[in-house]
Amino acid sequence: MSTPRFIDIHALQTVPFSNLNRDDQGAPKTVVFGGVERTRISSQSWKRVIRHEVERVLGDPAVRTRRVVRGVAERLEKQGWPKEEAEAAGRQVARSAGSGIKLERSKDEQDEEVLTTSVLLYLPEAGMEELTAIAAEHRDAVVVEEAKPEKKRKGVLPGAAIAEVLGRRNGTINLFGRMLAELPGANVDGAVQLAHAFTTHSTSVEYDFFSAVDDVEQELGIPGSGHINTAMFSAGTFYRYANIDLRGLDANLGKDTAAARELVKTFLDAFITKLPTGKANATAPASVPDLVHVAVRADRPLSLATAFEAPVQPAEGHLAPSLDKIVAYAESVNTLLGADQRLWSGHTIAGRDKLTQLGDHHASFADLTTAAVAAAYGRESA
Amino acid sequence: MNAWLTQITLNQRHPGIAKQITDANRLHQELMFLAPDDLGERPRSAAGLLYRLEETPAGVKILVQTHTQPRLDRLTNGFAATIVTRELTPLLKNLSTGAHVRYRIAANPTQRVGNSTTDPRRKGKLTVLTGERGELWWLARATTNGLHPFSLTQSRLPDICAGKTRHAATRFDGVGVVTDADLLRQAILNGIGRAKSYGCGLLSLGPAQRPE
Repeated sequence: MSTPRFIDIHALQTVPFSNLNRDDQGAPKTVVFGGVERTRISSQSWKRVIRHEVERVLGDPAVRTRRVVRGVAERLEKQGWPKEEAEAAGRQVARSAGSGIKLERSKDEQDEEVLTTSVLLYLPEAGMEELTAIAAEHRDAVVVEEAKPEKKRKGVLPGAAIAEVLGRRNGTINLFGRMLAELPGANVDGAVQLAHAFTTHSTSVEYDFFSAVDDVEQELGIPGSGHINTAMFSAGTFYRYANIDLRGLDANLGKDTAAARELVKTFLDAFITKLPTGKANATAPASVPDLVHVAVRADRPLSLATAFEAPVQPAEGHLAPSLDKIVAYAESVNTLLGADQRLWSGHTIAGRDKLTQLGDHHASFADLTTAAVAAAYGRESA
Repeated sequence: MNAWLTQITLNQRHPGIAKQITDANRLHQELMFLAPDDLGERPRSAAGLLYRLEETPAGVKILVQTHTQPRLDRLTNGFAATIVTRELTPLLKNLSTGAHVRYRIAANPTQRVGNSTTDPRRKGKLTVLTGERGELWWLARATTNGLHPFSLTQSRLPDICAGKTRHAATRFDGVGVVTDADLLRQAILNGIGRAKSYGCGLLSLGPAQRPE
Protein backbone atom coordinates (compact mmCIF):
# COMPACT_ATOMS: atom_id res chain seq x y z
CA MET A 1 0.00 0.00 0.00
CA SER A 2 1.22 3.52 -0.79
CA THR A 3 2.25 5.66 2.14
CA PRO A 4 0.34 8.81 3.12
CA ARG A 5 2.28 11.89 1.98
CA PHE A 6 -0.13 14.81 2.12
CA ILE A 7 -3.23 15.82 4.03
CA ASP A 8 -5.59 18.22 2.23
CA ILE A 9 -8.18 20.13 4.17
CA HIS A 10 -10.92 22.00 2.30
CA ALA A 11 -13.70 24.06 3.81
CA LEU A 12 -16.69 25.98 2.58
CA GLN A 13 -17.48 28.61 5.16
CA THR A 14 -20.19 31.21 5.05
CA VAL A 15 -19.05 34.36 6.78
CA PRO A 16 -21.74 36.96 7.46
CA PHE A 17 -21.41 40.71 7.01
CA SER A 18 -17.84 41.39 8.13
CA ASN A 19 -14.42 42.71 7.27
CA LEU A 20 -11.98 40.12 8.57
CA ASN A 21 -8.97 41.25 6.58
CA ARG A 22 -8.50 44.83 5.40
CA ASP A 23 -6.29 46.44 2.79
CA ASP A 24 -4.50 49.77 3.22
CA GLN A 25 -7.76 51.66 2.56
CA GLY A 26 -9.69 49.72 5.19
CA ALA A 27 -11.73 47.89 2.56
CA PRO A 28 -11.90 44.08 2.46
CA LYS A 29 -9.11 42.54 0.37
CA THR A 30 -10.17 41.34 -3.04
CA VAL A 31 -9.02 39.15 -5.89
CA VAL A 32 -10.17 38.97 -9.50
CA PHE A 33 -10.68 35.30 -10.33
CA GLY A 34 -12.67 33.98 -13.24
CA GLY A 35 -13.19 37.55 -14.45
CA VAL A 36 -15.09 38.81 -11.42
CA GLU A 37 -14.07 40.43 -8.17
CA ARG A 38 -14.22 38.27 -5.03
CA THR A 39 -13.59 39.04 -1.40
CA ARG A 40 -10.33 37.54 -0.18
CA ILE A 41 -8.95 36.77 3.25
CA SER A 42 -5.20 36.56 3.09
CA SER A 43 -3.44 33.42 4.21
CA GLN A 44 -1.10 35.31 6.53
CA SER A 45 -4.01 36.71 8.51
CA TRP A 46 -5.67 33.32 8.86
CA LYS A 47 -2.36 31.59 9.55
CA ARG A 48 -1.67 33.93 12.44
CA VAL A 49 -4.82 32.97 14.36
CA ILE A 50 -4.24 29.30 13.58
CA ARG A 51 -0.65 29.55 14.83
CA HIS A 52 -1.77 31.17 18.08
CA GLU A 53 -4.44 28.54 18.58
CA VAL A 54 -1.98 25.68 18.00
CA GLU A 55 0.42 27.28 20.47
CA ARG A 56 -2.35 27.77 23.01
CA VAL A 57 -3.53 24.17 22.76
CA LEU A 58 -0.02 22.76 22.95
CA GLY A 59 1.10 25.27 25.60
CA ASP A 60 4.15 26.04 23.51
CA PRO A 61 4.16 29.72 22.55
CA ALA A 62 6.60 31.41 20.19
CA VAL A 63 7.34 35.10 19.92
CA ARG A 64 7.88 37.00 16.73
CA THR A 65 9.69 40.17 17.64
CA ARG A 66 12.26 42.82 16.91
CA ARG A 67 12.36 43.80 20.56
CA VAL A 68 14.77 41.20 21.92
CA VAL A 69 16.75 44.03 23.51
CA ARG A 70 13.71 45.24 25.44
CA GLY A 71 12.55 41.71 26.27
CA VAL A 72 15.88 40.73 27.83
CA ALA A 73 16.24 44.07 29.61
CA GLU A 74 12.79 43.80 31.17
CA ARG A 75 13.46 40.30 32.45
CA LEU A 76 16.76 41.38 33.99
CA GLU A 77 15.17 44.42 35.62
CA LYS A 78 12.66 42.06 37.23
CA GLN A 79 15.60 40.13 38.64
CA GLY A 80 16.70 43.34 40.34
CA TRP A 81 19.29 44.63 37.91
CA PRO A 82 19.64 48.40 37.61
CA LYS A 83 17.96 49.73 34.48
CA GLU A 84 21.16 50.82 32.71
CA GLU A 85 22.92 47.50 33.18
CA ALA A 86 19.83 45.58 32.10
CA GLU A 87 19.59 47.57 28.88
CA ALA A 88 23.29 47.13 28.24
CA ALA A 89 22.84 43.37 28.56
CA GLY A 90 19.89 43.50 26.14
CA ARG A 91 22.03 45.28 23.57
CA GLN A 92 24.81 42.78 24.06
CA VAL A 93 22.49 39.88 23.21
CA ALA A 94 21.71 41.48 19.83
CA ARG A 95 25.35 42.41 19.21
CA SER A 96 26.56 38.89 19.90
CA ALA A 97 23.90 37.12 17.85
CA GLY A 98 25.80 37.02 14.59
CA SER A 99 27.07 39.29 11.89
CA GLY A 100 23.75 39.45 10.02
CA ILE A 101 21.76 40.84 12.93
CA LYS A 102 22.26 44.52 13.67
CA LEU A 103 20.80 47.03 16.06
CA GLU A 104 18.53 49.74 14.72
CA ARG A 105 16.84 52.73 16.25
CA SER A 106 13.09 52.97 15.79
CA LYS A 107 10.05 54.49 17.44
CA ASP A 108 7.61 52.60 19.62
CA GLU A 109 3.88 53.23 20.10
CA GLN A 110 4.53 56.10 22.51
CA ASP A 111 6.92 57.59 19.95
CA GLU A 112 9.88 56.88 22.22
CA GLU A 113 13.10 55.73 20.71
CA VAL A 114 13.82 52.01 21.19
CA LEU A 115 16.52 49.71 19.93
CA THR A 116 15.33 46.87 17.73
CA THR A 117 17.04 44.14 15.77
CA SER A 118 17.32 44.61 12.03
CA VAL A 119 15.43 41.38 11.37
CA LEU A 120 12.25 40.00 12.82
CA LEU A 121 13.25 37.13 15.10
CA TYR A 122 10.95 34.20 15.68
CA LEU A 123 11.72 31.93 18.56
CA PRO A 124 10.03 29.87 21.26
CA GLU A 125 9.10 32.08 24.18
CA ALA A 126 11.20 29.98 26.54
CA GLY A 127 14.16 31.12 24.44
CA MET A 128 13.85 34.65 25.83
CA GLU A 129 14.48 33.29 29.34
CA GLU A 130 17.59 31.51 28.14
CA LEU A 131 18.93 34.59 26.38
CA THR A 132 18.41 36.44 29.65
CA ALA A 133 20.28 33.73 31.52
CA ILE A 134 23.22 33.88 29.10
CA ALA A 135 23.43 37.65 29.54
CA ALA A 136 23.22 37.33 33.32
CA GLU A 137 26.12 34.89 33.41
CA HIS A 138 28.43 37.41 31.77
CA ARG A 139 27.30 40.44 33.74
CA ASP A 140 30.77 41.88 34.39
CA ALA A 141 31.97 41.58 30.80
CA VAL A 142 28.73 43.19 29.57
CA VAL A 143 29.06 46.19 31.86
CA VAL A 144 32.71 46.74 30.87
CA GLU A 145 32.01 46.44 27.13
CA GLU A 146 28.96 48.71 27.08
CA ALA A 147 30.92 51.39 28.97
CA LYS A 148 33.13 51.85 25.89
CA PRO A 149 32.23 54.46 23.21
CA GLU A 150 29.38 53.22 21.04
CA LYS A 151 31.41 52.64 17.87
CA LYS A 152 33.95 50.44 19.68
CA ARG A 153 31.45 48.13 21.37
CA LYS A 154 31.54 44.53 20.30
CA GLY A 155 29.54 41.46 21.24
CA VAL A 156 31.16 39.70 24.21
CA LEU A 157 28.52 37.05 24.90
CA PRO A 158 29.06 33.54 23.52
CA GLY A 159 27.71 33.85 19.96
CA ALA A 160 27.24 30.16 19.40
CA ALA A 161 25.00 29.79 22.45
CA ILE A 162 22.84 32.74 21.41
CA ALA A 163 22.60 31.51 17.83
CA GLU A 164 21.55 28.12 19.19
CA VAL A 165 18.70 29.70 21.17
CA LEU A 166 17.61 31.91 18.27
CA GLY A 167 17.65 28.90 15.97
CA ARG A 168 15.59 26.75 18.31
CA ARG A 169 12.16 25.63 17.14
CA ASN A 170 8.82 24.94 18.70
CA GLY A 171 5.83 23.12 17.24
CA THR A 172 4.49 25.96 15.16
CA ILE A 173 7.91 26.78 13.74
CA ASN A 174 8.21 23.17 12.63
CA LEU A 175 4.74 23.39 11.16
CA PHE A 176 4.83 26.79 9.44
CA GLY A 177 8.56 27.26 8.91
CA ARG A 178 10.82 30.22 9.59
CA MET A 179 12.76 32.56 7.34
CA LEU A 180 15.91 33.83 9.04
CA ALA A 181 18.67 34.14 6.46
CA GLU A 182 20.89 36.18 8.80
CA LEU A 183 21.54 33.20 11.05
CA PRO A 184 23.03 30.16 9.33
CA GLY A 185 21.02 27.01 9.87
CA ALA A 186 18.04 28.81 11.39
CA ASN A 187 15.81 28.58 8.30
CA VAL A 188 13.03 26.04 8.57
CA ASP A 189 10.95 25.01 5.57
CA GLY A 190 7.28 25.06 6.48
CA ALA A 191 5.29 21.86 6.13
CA VAL A 192 1.97 23.66 5.77
CA GLN A 193 0.71 25.45 2.68
CA LEU A 194 -2.27 27.69 3.29
CA ALA A 195 -4.33 29.22 0.49
CA HIS A 196 -5.89 32.67 0.54
CA ALA A 197 -9.58 32.17 1.19
CA PHE A 198 -11.86 33.66 -1.47
CA THR A 199 -15.58 33.79 -2.06
CA THR A 200 -17.05 31.26 -4.47
CA HIS A 201 -19.16 34.05 -5.97
CA SER A 202 -18.59 37.66 -6.99
CA THR A 203 -18.80 40.34 -4.33
CA SER A 204 -18.78 44.07 -4.79
CA VAL A 205 -17.02 46.29 -2.31
CA GLU A 206 -17.05 49.33 -4.58
CA TYR A 207 -19.71 51.80 -3.58
CA ASP A 208 -22.28 51.56 -6.35
CA PHE A 209 -24.23 54.82 -6.57
CA PHE A 210 -26.57 53.36 -9.15
CA SER A 211 -27.71 50.51 -6.90
CA ALA A 212 -27.71 52.87 -3.93
CA VAL A 213 -30.65 54.73 -5.46
CA ASP A 214 -32.98 51.98 -4.21
CA ASP A 215 -31.60 52.14 -0.69
CA VAL A 216 -31.93 55.89 -0.67
CA GLU A 217 -35.60 55.60 -1.55
CA GLN A 218 -36.14 53.34 1.41
CA GLU A 219 -33.92 55.09 3.88
CA LEU A 220 -33.64 58.79 3.21
CA GLY A 221 -37.17 59.55 4.27
CA ILE A 222 -36.20 59.12 7.89
CA PRO A 223 -33.84 61.94 8.82
CA GLY A 224 -30.66 60.80 10.53
CA SER A 225 -31.52 57.13 10.63
CA GLY A 226 -28.63 54.72 11.07
CA HIS A 227 -27.25 53.35 7.83
CA ILE A 228 -24.79 50.75 6.85
CA ASN A 229 -21.57 51.66 5.18
CA THR A 230 -21.60 49.12 2.39
CA ALA A 231 -18.24 50.09 0.98
CA MET A 232 -16.22 48.65 3.79
CA PHE A 233 -17.84 45.32 4.50
CA SER A 234 -18.83 42.26 2.57
CA ALA A 235 -20.24 38.82 3.17
CA GLY A 236 -20.10 35.51 1.40
CA THR A 237 -19.27 31.85 1.15
CA PHE A 238 -15.53 31.28 1.19
CA TYR A 239 -13.51 28.41 -0.19
CA ARG A 240 -10.61 27.68 2.18
CA TYR A 241 -7.81 25.24 1.60
CA ALA A 242 -4.59 24.06 3.23
CA ASN A 243 -2.32 21.08 2.96
CA ILE A 244 0.30 19.47 5.18
CA ASP A 245 3.39 17.83 3.76
CA LEU A 246 3.75 14.86 6.09
CA ARG A 247 7.24 14.00 4.92
CA GLY A 248 8.42 17.59 5.38
CA LEU A 249 6.94 17.75 8.86
CA ASP A 250 8.62 14.47 9.69
CA ALA A 251 11.98 15.88 8.59
CA ASN A 252 11.48 19.05 10.66
CA LEU A 253 10.61 17.03 13.74
CA GLY A 254 13.35 14.48 13.30
CA LYS A 255 10.91 11.59 12.83
CA ASP A 256 9.07 12.21 16.09
CA THR A 257 5.75 10.66 15.02
CA ALA A 258 3.93 11.34 18.28
CA ALA A 259 4.71 15.06 18.01
CA ALA A 260 3.78 15.12 14.32
CA ARG A 261 0.48 13.47 15.10
CA GLU A 262 -0.35 15.98 17.78
CA LEU A 263 0.65 18.94 15.59
CA VAL A 264 -1.39 17.75 12.63
CA LYS A 265 -4.46 17.14 14.77
CA THR A 266 -4.18 20.55 16.45
CA PHE A 267 -3.59 22.28 13.13
CA LEU A 268 -6.66 20.67 11.54
CA ASP A 269 -8.81 21.59 14.53
CA ALA A 270 -7.54 25.18 14.54
CA PHE A 271 -8.08 25.47 10.77
CA ILE A 272 -11.71 24.51 11.27
CA THR A 273 -12.56 26.58 14.31
CA LYS A 274 -10.54 29.80 14.15
CA LEU A 275 -11.40 33.01 12.27
CA PRO A 276 -9.27 36.13 11.77
CA THR A 277 -10.27 38.86 14.18
CA GLY A 278 -10.59 41.95 11.92
CA LYS A 279 -13.58 44.09 12.93
CA ALA A 280 -14.82 41.09 14.94
CA ASN A 281 -16.18 43.19 17.80
CA ALA A 282 -18.36 45.18 15.44
CA THR A 283 -19.59 42.25 13.34
CA ALA A 284 -19.31 39.01 15.40
CA PRO A 285 -18.65 36.84 12.35
CA ALA A 286 -18.31 33.70 14.46
CA SER A 287 -19.47 31.10 11.95
CA VAL A 288 -18.19 27.54 11.52
CA PRO A 289 -17.46 25.86 8.18
CA ASP A 290 -20.55 24.43 6.51
CA LEU A 291 -18.48 21.77 4.82
CA VAL A 292 -15.12 20.36 5.88
CA HIS A 293 -13.50 17.82 3.63
CA VAL A 294 -10.22 16.14 4.55
CA ALA A 295 -8.30 13.84 2.24
CA VAL A 296 -5.10 11.87 2.81
CA ARG A 297 -3.19 11.52 -0.44
CA ALA A 298 -0.26 9.44 -1.60
CA ASP A 299 0.85 11.50 -4.61
CA ARG A 300 0.46 15.26 -4.32
CA PRO A 301 -1.67 17.90 -2.61
CA LEU A 302 -4.85 18.84 -4.45
CA SER A 303 -6.62 22.20 -4.29
CA LEU A 304 -10.24 22.33 -5.41
CA ALA A 305 -10.19 26.11 -6.05
CA THR A 306 -10.82 25.59 -9.76
CA ALA A 307 -14.32 24.38 -8.93
CA PHE A 308 -15.17 28.06 -8.39
CA GLU A 309 -13.36 29.57 -11.36
CA ALA A 310 -16.78 30.25 -12.81
CA PRO A 311 -18.43 32.34 -10.09
CA VAL A 312 -21.41 30.72 -8.40
CA GLN A 313 -24.74 32.39 -9.15
CA PRO A 314 -27.12 32.70 -6.22
CA ALA A 315 -29.88 30.08 -6.15
CA GLU A 316 -31.29 29.75 -2.65
CA GLY A 317 -28.05 31.38 -1.55
CA HIS A 318 -24.50 30.71 -2.60
CA LEU A 319 -23.80 27.74 -0.33
CA ALA A 320 -25.99 25.10 -1.96
CA PRO A 321 -24.66 25.66 -5.51
CA SER A 322 -21.10 25.89 -4.12
CA LEU A 323 -21.53 22.46 -2.52
CA ASP A 324 -22.77 21.00 -5.80
CA LYS A 325 -19.79 22.45 -7.64
CA ILE A 326 -17.13 21.24 -5.22
CA VAL A 327 -18.62 17.75 -5.12
CA ALA A 328 -18.73 17.47 -8.90
CA TYR A 329 -15.25 18.89 -9.33
CA ALA A 330 -13.69 16.72 -6.59
CA GLU A 331 -15.15 13.63 -8.17
CA SER A 332 -13.86 14.34 -11.65
CA VAL A 333 -10.39 15.47 -10.60
CA ASN A 334 -9.94 12.46 -8.32
CA THR A 335 -10.73 10.26 -11.28
CA LEU A 336 -8.12 12.11 -13.32
CA LEU A 337 -5.42 11.60 -10.70
CA GLY A 338 -6.39 7.99 -10.11
CA ALA A 339 -8.79 7.01 -7.35
CA ASP A 340 -6.16 4.93 -5.52
CA GLN A 341 -4.04 8.03 -4.86
CA ARG A 342 -6.65 9.31 -2.42
CA LEU A 343 -5.97 6.94 0.45
CA TRP A 344 -8.64 8.22 2.75
CA SER A 345 -11.22 10.97 2.81
CA GLY A 346 -13.99 12.20 5.02
CA HIS A 347 -16.24 15.17 5.61
CA THR A 348 -18.57 16.92 7.98
CA ILE A 349 -21.50 18.97 6.84
CA ALA A 350 -23.87 21.39 8.53
CA GLY A 351 -27.57 21.62 7.90
CA ARG A 352 -28.10 18.97 5.24
CA ASP A 353 -27.70 15.28 4.41
CA LYS A 354 -24.29 13.67 4.17
CA LEU A 355 -22.54 13.59 0.83
CA THR A 356 -21.51 10.29 -0.69
CA GLN A 357 -18.78 11.65 -2.95
CA LEU A 358 -16.45 13.22 -0.36
CA GLY A 359 -15.62 10.14 1.70
CA ASP A 360 -17.06 9.00 5.01
CA HIS A 361 -19.42 11.30 6.85
CA HIS A 362 -18.44 12.28 10.40
CA ALA A 363 -20.73 13.66 13.02
CA SER A 364 -18.34 16.22 14.51
CA PHE A 365 -15.23 18.17 13.54
CA ALA A 366 -13.23 16.31 16.19
CA ASP A 367 -14.33 12.91 14.82
CA LEU A 368 -13.22 13.97 11.36
CA THR A 369 -9.78 15.24 12.36
CA THR A 370 -9.13 12.24 14.62
CA ALA A 371 -10.01 9.88 11.78
CA ALA A 372 -7.80 11.85 9.35
CA VAL A 373 -4.80 11.66 11.67
CA ALA A 374 -5.42 7.94 12.20
CA ALA A 375 -5.50 7.46 8.42
CA ALA A 376 -2.21 9.32 8.01
CA TYR A 377 -0.27 7.86 10.95
CA GLY A 378 -2.12 4.64 11.75
CA ARG A 379 -4.25 4.03 14.84
CA GLU A 380 -2.79 5.18 18.11
CA SER A 381 -1.06 2.21 19.72
CA ALA A 382 -1.96 3.22 23.27
CA MET B 1 -39.61 67.43 -11.75
CA ASN B 2 -38.84 63.89 -12.83
CA ALA B 3 -35.47 62.32 -13.49
CA TRP B 4 -34.11 59.01 -14.68
CA LEU B 5 -30.76 57.43 -14.03
CA THR B 6 -29.29 55.06 -16.61
CA GLN B 7 -26.24 52.88 -16.13
CA ILE B 8 -24.51 51.87 -19.35
CA THR B 9 -21.78 49.26 -19.21
CA LEU B 10 -19.71 49.79 -22.33
CA ASN B 11 -19.09 46.97 -24.72
CA GLN B 12 -15.28 46.84 -24.66
CA ARG B 13 -15.19 44.74 -27.81
CA HIS B 14 -16.97 47.33 -29.94
CA PRO B 15 -14.39 48.61 -32.49
CA GLY B 16 -15.25 52.29 -32.11
CA ILE B 17 -15.50 52.29 -28.33
CA ALA B 18 -12.05 53.66 -27.52
CA LYS B 19 -12.61 56.72 -29.77
CA GLN B 20 -16.12 57.10 -28.44
CA ILE B 21 -15.02 57.51 -24.82
CA THR B 22 -11.81 59.46 -25.42
CA ASP B 23 -13.53 62.19 -27.43
CA ALA B 24 -16.07 63.84 -25.15
CA ASN B 25 -17.77 65.54 -28.13
CA ARG B 26 -18.66 62.19 -29.62
CA LEU B 27 -19.73 60.74 -26.29
CA HIS B 28 -21.94 63.78 -25.68
CA GLN B 29 -23.53 63.39 -29.12
CA GLU B 30 -24.11 59.71 -28.53
CA LEU B 31 -25.72 60.23 -25.12
CA MET B 32 -27.91 63.04 -26.45
CA PHE B 33 -29.69 60.37 -28.51
CA LEU B 34 -31.30 59.37 -25.20
CA ALA B 35 -33.08 62.76 -25.04
CA PRO B 36 -36.09 63.86 -27.12
CA ASP B 37 -35.59 65.77 -30.39
CA ASP B 38 -36.14 69.50 -30.98
CA LEU B 39 -35.16 70.84 -27.61
CA GLY B 40 -34.51 74.39 -28.82
CA GLU B 41 -31.52 76.63 -28.24
CA ARG B 42 -29.94 74.76 -25.33
CA PRO B 43 -30.72 71.10 -25.86
CA ARG B 44 -28.46 69.70 -23.10
CA SER B 45 -29.87 71.77 -20.32
CA ALA B 46 -33.41 71.30 -21.65
CA ALA B 47 -32.91 67.53 -21.59
CA GLY B 48 -31.25 67.73 -18.17
CA LEU B 49 -28.56 65.44 -19.48
CA LEU B 50 -25.63 64.87 -17.14
CA TYR B 51 -23.23 61.97 -17.06
CA ARG B 52 -20.15 60.58 -15.36
CA LEU B 53 -17.68 57.91 -16.45
CA GLU B 54 -16.90 55.39 -13.73
CA GLU B 55 -13.97 53.07 -14.12
CA THR B 56 -14.56 49.84 -12.24
CA PRO B 57 -12.51 46.62 -12.15
CA ALA B 58 -15.23 45.20 -14.42
CA GLY B 59 -14.84 47.89 -17.08
CA VAL B 60 -16.04 51.42 -17.84
CA LYS B 61 -19.56 52.34 -16.84
CA ILE B 62 -21.42 55.53 -17.69
CA LEU B 63 -24.01 56.92 -15.34
CA VAL B 64 -26.43 59.13 -17.26
CA GLN B 65 -29.17 61.32 -15.80
CA THR B 66 -32.03 62.71 -17.90
CA HIS B 67 -35.24 64.63 -17.18
CA THR B 68 -37.27 62.39 -19.48
CA GLN B 69 -37.37 58.64 -19.81
CA PRO B 70 -34.27 57.73 -21.85
CA ARG B 71 -34.87 56.44 -25.39
CA LEU B 72 -32.55 53.48 -25.05
CA ASP B 73 -33.33 52.04 -28.50
CA ARG B 74 -31.72 55.06 -30.15
CA LEU B 75 -28.19 54.34 -28.89
CA THR B 76 -25.73 53.10 -31.53
CA ASN B 77 -25.93 49.35 -31.89
CA GLY B 78 -23.22 47.50 -30.04
CA PHE B 79 -22.20 50.55 -28.00
CA ALA B 80 -23.47 49.19 -24.68
CA ALA B 81 -23.04 45.75 -23.19
CA THR B 82 -25.79 46.26 -20.62
CA ILE B 83 -28.16 49.12 -19.92
CA VAL B 84 -30.19 49.52 -16.75
CA THR B 85 -32.55 52.38 -16.01
CA ARG B 86 -33.96 53.50 -12.72
CA GLU B 87 -36.34 56.29 -11.88
CA LEU B 88 -34.73 58.91 -9.68
CA THR B 89 -37.95 60.75 -8.82
CA PRO B 90 -38.68 58.88 -5.55
CA LEU B 91 -35.19 59.70 -4.33
CA LEU B 92 -35.64 63.37 -5.13
CA LYS B 93 -39.04 63.41 -3.49
CA ASN B 94 -37.83 61.72 -0.32
CA LEU B 95 -34.66 63.72 0.07
CA SER B 96 -35.02 65.36 3.46
CA THR B 97 -33.07 67.90 5.43
CA GLY B 98 -30.91 66.22 8.08
CA ALA B 99 -30.32 62.99 6.16
CA HIS B 100 -26.77 61.64 6.10
CA VAL B 101 -25.52 60.91 2.60
CA ARG B 102 -22.51 59.68 0.76
CA TYR B 103 -21.79 61.80 -2.30
CA ARG B 104 -19.73 61.67 -5.43
CA ILE B 105 -19.29 64.21 -8.17
CA ALA B 106 -16.85 64.58 -11.04
CA ALA B 107 -16.59 68.32 -11.50
CA ASN B 108 -14.70 70.96 -13.44
CA PRO B 109 -13.30 73.14 -10.64
CA THR B 110 -12.47 76.31 -12.56
CA GLN B 111 -12.60 80.02 -11.95
CA ARG B 112 -12.37 83.07 -14.22
CA VAL B 113 -9.31 85.21 -13.66
CA GLY B 114 -10.63 88.56 -12.45
CA ASN B 115 -9.54 92.17 -12.86
CA SER B 116 -7.10 91.97 -9.98
CA THR B 117 -4.64 89.85 -11.95
CA THR B 118 -1.21 91.35 -12.63
CA ASP B 119 -1.01 89.70 -16.03
CA PRO B 120 -3.47 91.43 -18.38
CA ARG B 121 -3.33 88.58 -20.90
CA ARG B 122 -4.79 86.17 -18.33
CA LYS B 123 -7.80 88.36 -17.61
CA GLY B 124 -11.06 86.55 -18.29
CA LYS B 125 -9.34 83.20 -18.83
CA LEU B 126 -10.30 80.08 -16.89
CA THR B 127 -7.95 78.73 -14.28
CA VAL B 128 -8.11 75.22 -12.84
CA LEU B 129 -8.28 74.97 -9.07
CA THR B 130 -6.40 72.06 -7.55
CA GLY B 131 -5.23 71.07 -4.09
CA GLU B 132 -6.59 73.17 -1.28
CA ARG B 133 -8.19 75.69 -3.68
CA GLY B 134 -9.95 72.78 -5.40
CA GLU B 135 -11.32 71.55 -2.07
CA LEU B 136 -12.54 75.04 -1.21
CA TRP B 137 -14.19 75.28 -4.61
CA TRP B 138 -16.21 72.14 -3.91
CA LEU B 139 -16.99 73.05 -0.30
CA ALA B 140 -18.36 76.42 -1.44
CA ARG B 141 -20.46 74.79 -4.20
CA ALA B 142 -21.72 72.05 -1.87
CA THR B 143 -22.76 74.37 0.94
CA THR B 144 -24.56 76.84 -1.34
CA ASN B 145 -26.44 73.87 -2.81
CA GLY B 146 -27.72 72.50 0.49
CA LEU B 147 -25.10 69.82 1.23
CA HIS B 148 -22.73 70.16 4.14
CA PRO B 149 -19.77 67.78 3.64
CA PHE B 150 -18.21 66.10 6.70
CA SER B 151 -15.43 64.48 4.73
CA LEU B 152 -13.87 64.98 1.35
CA THR B 153 -11.50 63.01 -0.84
CA GLN B 154 -10.28 64.78 -3.93
CA SER B 155 -8.91 62.81 -6.85
CA ARG B 156 -7.70 64.48 -10.00
CA LEU B 157 -9.05 62.75 -13.12
CA PRO B 158 -7.36 62.81 -16.52
CA ASP B 159 -8.26 65.88 -18.60
CA ILE B 160 -11.35 65.42 -20.74
CA CYS B 161 -10.67 66.04 -24.44
CA ALA B 162 -13.49 67.52 -26.50
CA GLY B 163 -12.11 68.09 -29.98
CA LYS B 164 -9.11 70.34 -29.40
CA THR B 165 -10.35 71.70 -26.11
CA ARG B 166 -9.35 70.13 -22.85
CA HIS B 167 -11.36 70.28 -19.66
CA ALA B 168 -9.92 69.57 -16.23
CA ALA B 169 -11.86 67.14 -14.05
CA THR B 170 -11.67 66.29 -10.37
CA ARG B 171 -13.68 63.76 -8.45
CA PHE B 172 -14.94 64.66 -4.99
CA ASP B 173 -16.10 61.85 -2.69
CA GLY B 174 -17.24 61.93 0.86
CA VAL B 175 -20.10 61.92 3.32
CA GLY B 176 -22.19 64.83 4.43
CA VAL B 177 -25.54 65.99 5.72
CA VAL B 178 -28.40 67.52 3.74
CA THR B 179 -28.93 71.07 4.99
CA ASP B 180 -31.49 72.21 2.41
CA ALA B 181 -33.35 69.49 0.54
CA ASP B 182 -34.92 71.88 -2.02
CA LEU B 183 -31.63 73.45 -3.06
CA LEU B 184 -29.92 70.05 -3.23
CA ARG B 185 -32.73 68.67 -5.38
CA GLN B 186 -32.23 71.52 -7.87
CA ALA B 187 -28.44 70.90 -7.83
CA ILE B 188 -28.96 67.21 -8.61
CA LEU B 189 -31.35 68.02 -11.46
CA ASN B 190 -29.31 70.82 -13.03
CA GLY B 191 -25.75 69.76 -12.23
CA ILE B 192 -22.95 71.73 -10.61
CA GLY B 193 -20.16 73.69 -12.28
CA ARG B 194 -18.88 73.91 -15.85
CA ALA B 195 -18.28 71.31 -18.60
CA LYS B 196 -21.67 69.66 -18.05
CA SER B 197 -21.69 68.43 -21.65
CA TYR B 198 -18.46 66.59 -21.06
CA GLY B 199 -19.08 64.38 -18.06
CA CYS B 200 -18.87 66.91 -15.23
CA GLY B 201 -21.43 68.12 -12.73
CA LEU B 202 -23.52 65.01 -12.03
CA LEU B 203 -23.97 64.75 -8.26
CA SER B 204 -24.79 61.25 -6.94
CA LEU B 205 -26.05 60.50 -3.45
CA GLY B 206 -26.30 57.27 -1.49
CA PRO B 207 -27.15 56.42 2.10
CA ALA B 208 -24.35 56.82 4.63
CA GLN B 209 -23.68 55.73 8.15
CA ARG B 210 -24.48 58.36 10.70
CA PRO B 211 -21.17 59.50 12.19
CA GLU B 212 -20.65 58.50 15.80
